[in-house]
Amino acid sequence: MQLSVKMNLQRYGTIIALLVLVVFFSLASGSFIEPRNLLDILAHISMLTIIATGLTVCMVTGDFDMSIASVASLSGVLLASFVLKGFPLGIALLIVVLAGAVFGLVGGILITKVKVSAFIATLALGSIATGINFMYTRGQEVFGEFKPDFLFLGQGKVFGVVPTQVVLMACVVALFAFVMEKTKTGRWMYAIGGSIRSAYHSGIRVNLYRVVGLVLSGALAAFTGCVLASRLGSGQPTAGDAFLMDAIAAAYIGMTTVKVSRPNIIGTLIGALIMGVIDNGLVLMGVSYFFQYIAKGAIIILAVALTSRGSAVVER
Amino acid sequence: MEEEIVRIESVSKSFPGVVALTDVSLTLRVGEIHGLVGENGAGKSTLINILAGVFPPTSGSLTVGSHRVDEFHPARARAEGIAVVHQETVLVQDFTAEQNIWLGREGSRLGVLSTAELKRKTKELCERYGIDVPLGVPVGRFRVAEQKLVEVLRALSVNARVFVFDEPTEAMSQKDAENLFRILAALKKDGFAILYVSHHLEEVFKICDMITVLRNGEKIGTYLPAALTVRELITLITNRDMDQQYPPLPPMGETRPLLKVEGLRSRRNGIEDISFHVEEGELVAFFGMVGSRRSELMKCLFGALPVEAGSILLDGAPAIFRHPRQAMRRGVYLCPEDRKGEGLVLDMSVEENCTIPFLGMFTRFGVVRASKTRGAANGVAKELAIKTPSLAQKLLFLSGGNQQKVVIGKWLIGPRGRLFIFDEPTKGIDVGTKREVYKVMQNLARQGAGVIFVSSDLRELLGVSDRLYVMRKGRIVADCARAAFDQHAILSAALVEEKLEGGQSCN
Repeated sequence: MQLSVKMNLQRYGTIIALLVLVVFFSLASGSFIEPRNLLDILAHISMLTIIATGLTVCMVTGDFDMSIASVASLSGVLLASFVLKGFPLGIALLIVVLAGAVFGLVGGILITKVKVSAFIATLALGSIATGINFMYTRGQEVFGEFKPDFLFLGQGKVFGVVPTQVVLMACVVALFAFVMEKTKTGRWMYAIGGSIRSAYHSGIRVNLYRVVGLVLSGALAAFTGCVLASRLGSGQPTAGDAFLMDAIAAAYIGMTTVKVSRPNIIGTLIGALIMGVIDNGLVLMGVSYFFQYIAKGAIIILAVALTSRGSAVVER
Repeated sequence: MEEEIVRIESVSKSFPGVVALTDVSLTLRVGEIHGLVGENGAGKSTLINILAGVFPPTSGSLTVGSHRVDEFHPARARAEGIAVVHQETVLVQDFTAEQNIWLGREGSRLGVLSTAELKRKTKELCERYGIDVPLGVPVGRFRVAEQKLVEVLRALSVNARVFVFDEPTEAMSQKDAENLFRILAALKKDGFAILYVSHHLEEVFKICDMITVLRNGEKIGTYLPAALTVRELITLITNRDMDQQYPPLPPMGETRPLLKVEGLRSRRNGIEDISFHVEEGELVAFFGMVGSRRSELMKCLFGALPVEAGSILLDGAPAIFRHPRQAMRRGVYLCPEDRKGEGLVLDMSVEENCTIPFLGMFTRFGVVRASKTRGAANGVAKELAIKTPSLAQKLLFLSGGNQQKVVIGKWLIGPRGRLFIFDEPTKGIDVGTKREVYKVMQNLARQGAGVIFVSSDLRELLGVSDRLYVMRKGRIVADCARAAFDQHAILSAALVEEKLEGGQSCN
């Protein structure tokens, strides 16, 4: 009885914290709770949520992807230049997302076949992506006359109300939450993350699914970069770099809720929401920009401390 | 009579559902090597753990020197001068011998460690006890024997008076073992007391001054080696009647060849030239001590370890697999020895675990149909009488016996198996559940599958199977039919280097 109360508290604690934050900021600043501002928050976190969803997928199998931010930056630049060269948007998007998937594929092969640790392999690939990026752009932004369809991705509104990126985020989250929770692929990826040896001895093609995780992570990172380029209306060589830390934070906060201590998509969305609410609320309250970073750091520490509480303690 | 240093008096230990030790007394004297022998599950490890301070006895007392130990904690045991050299090494693999020996007691000048000082102190220690280990090299590169010696040195450096060795020569070469025996003899002369636990009876006879036999958690007696023969000792270790613990074996019908293995080799995994066969409807036992490579052989059959040479035929067709998935397609199912690490995802529910291998049977367009998985899991839970508050319960919270049933249940859900391999399925589970597992294996066999039952508990193998192979050091050394089961012959084959009279078979 006692135990189940505790577990429920842990499971829903993060969601309660999100609600508390919302109530707090609503009281502190009248404009916070206005629908317009709430949509702003969703638009603000949509790219973060998409890239963090990819990271979460590869974390499910127990891997990691440090290359997402670099891949996103590179992809934004690539999309902008493809579109300027006259490629139709659909084709350009497809090429760029596939290129991101290839980064994931190479990472997956390095991890499963060459047995490099996921952390190092993707860190190195991220460095390569950054290198290609700068070789191509020489550090300059890619700018020109963009057609409206390109700008619609990151700046448009569906039905004139909901920002396109929010719709994209909703689709990505719904799709991946479904795949991870309801399909064989998702179940097997969780089994691999739970015990890779047990999964193997149950006949699961462990390597294949680990590669799939990284491919999806790379593809979603690339897609995020595309939305970002549209949002900015240009290809900025370093625009996606800030996503890495925030995505890690969202995924780790996500592990404190829904499926406690396991990466999960809905949890990641909640993690991104918490960060978006804090960012937005602090701005509205007129708190300095620097303090936002400190607040974010504190929240990540708190989240990780909460999830690690259950595990064995060596020293008493 | 020499001075007593450790006195264990009427110690009993019970765990929830299991009595591990009953009223065991044992005395260690200064300058004595005391052998402790018994089958797996006889209570040796429990006794070692009490000495090591891992847990307290349920009743009884432990006296070290002149005072009674009333607090059981590893640090306290060390303070009492009791050093346990466990089967698995506990050294920091990246550290050198000297760093490991003085770990936590390095001594420093203003926080700066002195490598030279450590080396000097270690050399001193080595010379004093005539023990030789390489210095300045990470112990991860040491042989097993050298690692054990580092542990001995570390114990000596904290003034240990009593050593407990748990199967020290397992995975050691003959030469290394001889060196260890020489060191043990020297320690004995210096007045240390040594409790020596081993499966290898020749060793025990060779180096021990006293031998205590445990069986089923009880002490059978303490004997002078000179007053015993190996044969008598084996009888003392194993002699129990084949009671109702084992379900009666139904008669075997017509058999047809199912599995034929010839010249199987996997040198990397210590497997050399193995040939055997399993008939349809037959329950075949594999017996061997730790290190006999039974589990490796089973993993080769299941496609989880690579086969280097030889042939495997299943139902007349080649059956060397490169991935467990391929084995599963042909109906070869393995319940691995490491139940928690290789059989289960502890963080997942009973339902999820049961349906993992054949999840594809319960999906439509890749989407798992929860009603189907629940139905299937419910079915095996009933069939195997899995006790769980609900199918959504995580495996982590199930007892060992019920966890084992889930591992078995995974393979009952899919297409009917042709060959079931059970590797130590009864390890650490209670007697009642063991009996249920025996029944499952016998039924699977009699319904027409082949069943391989691997265990280090000879009695259960003799109790439930049709035929038995004995393995030793990666080879099959004997093959006995049920009618010719002979404990002595089988144990000698598994334990002793010499071949049985009459060659490879005890029929």
